[in-house]
Amino acid sequence: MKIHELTVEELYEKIQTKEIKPTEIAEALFDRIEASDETIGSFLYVNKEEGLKRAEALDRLQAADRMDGELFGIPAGIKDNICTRDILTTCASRMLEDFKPVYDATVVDKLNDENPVLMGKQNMDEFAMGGSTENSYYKLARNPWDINAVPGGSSGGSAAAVAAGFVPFSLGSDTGGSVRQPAAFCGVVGMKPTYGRVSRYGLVAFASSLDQIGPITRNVRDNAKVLEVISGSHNKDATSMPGLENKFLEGIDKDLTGMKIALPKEFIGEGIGEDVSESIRNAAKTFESLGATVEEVSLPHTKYVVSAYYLIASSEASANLARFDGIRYGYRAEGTETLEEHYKKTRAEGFGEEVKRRILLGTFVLSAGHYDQHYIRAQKLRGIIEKEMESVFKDYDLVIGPTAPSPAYDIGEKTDDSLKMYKDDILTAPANLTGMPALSIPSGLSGKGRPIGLQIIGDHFDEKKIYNAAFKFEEQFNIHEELKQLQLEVQ
Amino acid sequence: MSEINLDTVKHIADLARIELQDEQAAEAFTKELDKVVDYAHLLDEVDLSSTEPMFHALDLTNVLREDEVVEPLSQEEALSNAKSTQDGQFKVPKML
Amino acid sequence: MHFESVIGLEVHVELKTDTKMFSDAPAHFGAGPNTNLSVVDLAYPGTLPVPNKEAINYGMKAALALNMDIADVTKFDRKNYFYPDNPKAYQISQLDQPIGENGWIDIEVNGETRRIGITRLHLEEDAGKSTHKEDHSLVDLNRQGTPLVEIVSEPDIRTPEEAYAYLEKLRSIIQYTGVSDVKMEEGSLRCDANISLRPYGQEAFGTKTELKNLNSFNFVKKGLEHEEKRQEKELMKGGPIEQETRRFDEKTGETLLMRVKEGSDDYRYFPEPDLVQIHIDQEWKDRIRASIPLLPDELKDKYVNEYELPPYDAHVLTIRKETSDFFAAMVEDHSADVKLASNWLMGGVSEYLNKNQVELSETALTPANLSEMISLIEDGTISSKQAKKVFAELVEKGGAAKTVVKDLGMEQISDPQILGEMVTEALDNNPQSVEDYKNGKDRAIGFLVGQIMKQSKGQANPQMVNQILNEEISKR
Repeated sequence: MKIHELTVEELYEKIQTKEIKPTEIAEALFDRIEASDETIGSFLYVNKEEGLKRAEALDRLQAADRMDGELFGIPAGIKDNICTRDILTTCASRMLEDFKPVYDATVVDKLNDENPVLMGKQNMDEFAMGGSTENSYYKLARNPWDINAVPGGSSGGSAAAVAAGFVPFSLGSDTGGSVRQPAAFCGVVGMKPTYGRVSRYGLVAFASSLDQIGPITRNVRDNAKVLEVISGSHNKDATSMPGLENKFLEGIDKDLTGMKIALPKEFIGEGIGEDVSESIRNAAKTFESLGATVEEVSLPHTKYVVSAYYLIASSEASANLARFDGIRYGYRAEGTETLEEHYKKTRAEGFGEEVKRRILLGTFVLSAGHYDQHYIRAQKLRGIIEKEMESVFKDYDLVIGPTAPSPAYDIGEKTDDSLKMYKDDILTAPANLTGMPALSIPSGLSGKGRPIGLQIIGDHFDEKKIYNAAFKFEEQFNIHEELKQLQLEVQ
Repeated sequence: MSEINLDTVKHIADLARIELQDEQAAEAFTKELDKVVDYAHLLDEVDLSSTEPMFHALDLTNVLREDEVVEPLSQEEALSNAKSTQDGQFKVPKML
Repeated sequence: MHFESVIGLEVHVELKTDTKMFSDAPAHFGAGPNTNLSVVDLAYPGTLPVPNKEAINYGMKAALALNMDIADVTKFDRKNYFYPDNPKAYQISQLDQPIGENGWIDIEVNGETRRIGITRLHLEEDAGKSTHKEDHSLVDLNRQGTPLVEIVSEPDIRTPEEAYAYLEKLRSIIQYTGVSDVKMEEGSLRCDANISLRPYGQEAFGTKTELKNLNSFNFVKKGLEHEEKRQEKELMKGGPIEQETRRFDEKTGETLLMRVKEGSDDYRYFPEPDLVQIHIDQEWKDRIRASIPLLPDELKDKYVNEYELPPYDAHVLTIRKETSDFFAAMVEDHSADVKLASNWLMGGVSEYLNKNQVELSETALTPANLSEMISLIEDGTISSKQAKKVFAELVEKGGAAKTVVKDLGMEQISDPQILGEMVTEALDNNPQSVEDYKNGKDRAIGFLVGQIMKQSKGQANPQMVNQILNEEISKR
């Protein structure tokens, strides 16, 4: 038995039957992280001491037959922009290099209720701004499939850690594709739930109207299980939806006969890699073989998505990141004489280049004389995109397409051109702008042997349908064996 | 016609309280921002005159809290992450 | 004066909720700096605002009391600016969909009633406080997040006196609604004033200046008076008025330049994405409307019509809710005489409060003991002069009026037998006076009464003494 290969459900089963102890799992995975994460760079903080202590406590509960909790003894990785009480939460930024929150994020509370073992905090693009984890202030993260390739981003560390077999699941955050795209690049399953499904309280805000926390796992069932745990409205987040049913595993294996799936032609058109388009067409055939119908539709405003997304996300970010002033917490520039100087130096030294670019862009968009031209127009376009998507969901159950225009690219390949990297969000950002749920699942490997992600988008709060389709698809096609092979190589 | 020039960038950096290390840095930001803003003008070709802006993705209203007090943080906790404090307060350089 | 003043006032009022506008930390604080904060108030990364329902109710209540239209849909916006006492570097406020719009209040100046329009009332959060030292500043965030309403008047005010009357009326109304303490000295009411001048008959507004640091209604009036003169002088010299912010100097009574406004400040407002819209249906509006007590103008009418008080008295009694409530309790619950109750409140009570700079509630007076004292005057137990001493006791130490009267040994002697003996004694001791009386010198009676009062140390009931004396003297 290779512990690192086991899924959340398999580990759960083996703990409940006392075949294995929580400490055995934790020790094995901490060893694995210690041995190999120097190369992968997926963790910013490894919670070994506390994690092992926790595992030992769970061992005792196991011995006493008190194995309560859906994630009892299961190792968990958390993206470093999700607040963990008394545990460093840096957002991969110098700005928060020594920041220890005095509270837990709601998702962390919800996880903790189910008794997992927190393995550590994961690498990311600084403040979740980026698509390759190259914007981490602390270290580069690499793609386990090819250490010359990026793991994607911004939840690159979280996806790489799951792929490398360091943890069976991670929590990431997704503002414009930051869970799904790294999941696609690393050959794992990543879900961005419907906006409002998961409480954002304790997620360091990037763009408040777009951010959602989502699970990254090795298979669909694990993903559904973790989402069940972290879902649910919360009285500290006024944008979380009350009264939802959060059961995603129920009926996950339902027959797809009669399901209607739309494939927007813009999603496999210009700018999308040939191997990617082909993989998605094959996925469409797989769905048809499962009894679903797949039809081509058109979402003509797709080409405006990236513009609208960056105008909105950067505007919100410029305000959300204004609180980082070195007064109450965080990095503080030394030796400043005046308040003006204090602000400007602290923020110049504490933030990295990409973060500054987005703050400047957002400040510009919101500034006098540009607000109507840029901000309002972007929000109007968002409305059009939403209507366009809604109209598709009147006739179809789900929309499919690629998660990213290409498989993982080489480290350094896009760092000199931010706009080029922004344009890669064209396929993922629609779900954030509209608030709709979307999942990425491996649908193939490129010529270079790098994973390709299939994206399945649902109507608001239709996660169940997405998981159903994804699960049936996964039964027909998966790269689980390749992943295991890969994990052997990582070690 | 470019909307973003060096002066714009200096002005917005000032608004955002971010020091631009030098002229070169300012120019680099100008170049990058200009490209992005220029690209955003793609939206100009869409007729948005009869569309309402969509500020929220969520069909939800009236999320309010009852007026019930929760024990606040202690002064020590409130100041725990601050780099400079004095007499139970946050200390900042003088304002001009 | 060659010009007409155009004045608009912006008033900030702190709401008296238990918790803050967007966090569940207590909105009231005493002990030490930075002791009533939640992670939300500290703007910790990842925290989110959740609006206080009661603050919204209060805002709506104030707006309704100011005759405003309540929005069907209202929302919050972010106002961005960097300042150490503004921890998020944005204030959550309301830009284009305030909770209340289009209100008015009537003010009375020199016997004339004028209606002043109120443009809007919006909800927002207060900032913390910075204290400036020689080479650094200290920040206390206790006040951060306290719910506020900002009430913006139309530029309808024409004189500093009207500004004063507007503020007094506004404070009075808000106080009646119970949503705020509206105490300027404690900062729960703050005011900024805008003023411009224009030649009489001209419609277009002149360039306005904004006055800050106006820490009392009087300073608002004085600041505006000074600013009127200053602007007039500038205009007469032919110089332009700069659009600037000026601070009132309490020592000199002058306004001083703080800063010149360069265009408008760029606050980069945008809709607060962490909050959803608030829809206010008719049922909600009606419920809040029903919770508003009678307001000063309505009470004043009631006092004039039902209690037949003079309009001036009715006005004075209704300026402060505390006074009016006290008066109503005296009259309605303790059957005090309307005119006497009103005279005492406007006279002795008011004098005491002014002299000692305290509020009615801080004294030991109650509607019960003051009413009782009045009835003791009415039934002759104590004289008006004695009442002053009784009042002095009641206001300081409290207790029942009767007890105080007894303790002071002030009860009048009204027993006919005792009084009869006193009269007899006086008549016996003063045969000359009896003689004078018989000879038609009525003044002699006065002398005899005086003797009796002196002997009884003022405690004899004067009416009864008079009566018995007249009876007895005619028998001699």
